[in-house]
Amino acid sequence: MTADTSPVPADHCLLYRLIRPDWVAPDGNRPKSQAFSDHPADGALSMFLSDEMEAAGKTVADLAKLWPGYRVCGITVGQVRALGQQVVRDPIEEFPGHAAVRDLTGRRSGGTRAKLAKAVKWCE
Amino acid sequence: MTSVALPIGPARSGTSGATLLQTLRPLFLPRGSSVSTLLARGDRPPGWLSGVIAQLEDMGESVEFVDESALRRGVRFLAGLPEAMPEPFVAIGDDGSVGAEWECAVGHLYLTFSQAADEVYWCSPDGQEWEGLLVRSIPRLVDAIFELMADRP
Repeated sequence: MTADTSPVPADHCLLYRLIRPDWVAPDGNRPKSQAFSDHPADGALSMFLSDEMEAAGKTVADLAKLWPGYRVCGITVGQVRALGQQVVRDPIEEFPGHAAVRDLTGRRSGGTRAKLAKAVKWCE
Repeated sequence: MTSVALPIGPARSGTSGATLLQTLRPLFLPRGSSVSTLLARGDRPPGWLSGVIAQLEDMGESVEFVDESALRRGVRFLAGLPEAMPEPFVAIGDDGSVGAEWECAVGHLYLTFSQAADEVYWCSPDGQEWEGLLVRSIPRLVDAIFELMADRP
């Protein structure tokens, strides 16, 4: 899917990631690092941007409802960029605000996945 | 849905998992009496191994894609760990890779087995970290494993 030409997301914008039940660490405090692997279809981490969701009148609860059983965690675009990630708007039909997050080196290391897993906060 | 028969016995020779284990096992020899009680007994796998394999099998049933080779390497690696090693939490990523993590007071160890590379990441409580390819990180990885075993209650 081709990214649109809307403005680059601001650093303060939130990025949400859907977390499968088996991606939650045993203590429940954070996702497992493995939850931040790229999808092979597009070589990117699938996330959702709060600015587009808000513009479309959608909430985190709406996002969670679409994928029952998943939990939602969030992190700012600025934090993600500070970890060497590029955030590109990548609209999908199912829900507004979809973004593709890719590592600028072409491949996200284990350390970066672990840092993402520790930096996100549950949004519930 | 992906169904994978996972190995629980000794690694076969000729695989990268076996090669890594052959390199690692001698390093688990006692480093003095203070750690000797922490070490593995012969070829007995860690007590948590069958439970972890069951978790991976369940996960494999529900994900789009599992890299079977990575899964086998990961399980063989876990099976070769000392019996005193604490239980990891495992997961299968969207890319089909397999991860195993240990997080406790002495640090965070994260191993990834994937089509691209098998990697290791370590972070100590004071923020000192390193990462690299598993096969090139064996001395540091063994140190990390000893730290995790020493921290086990």
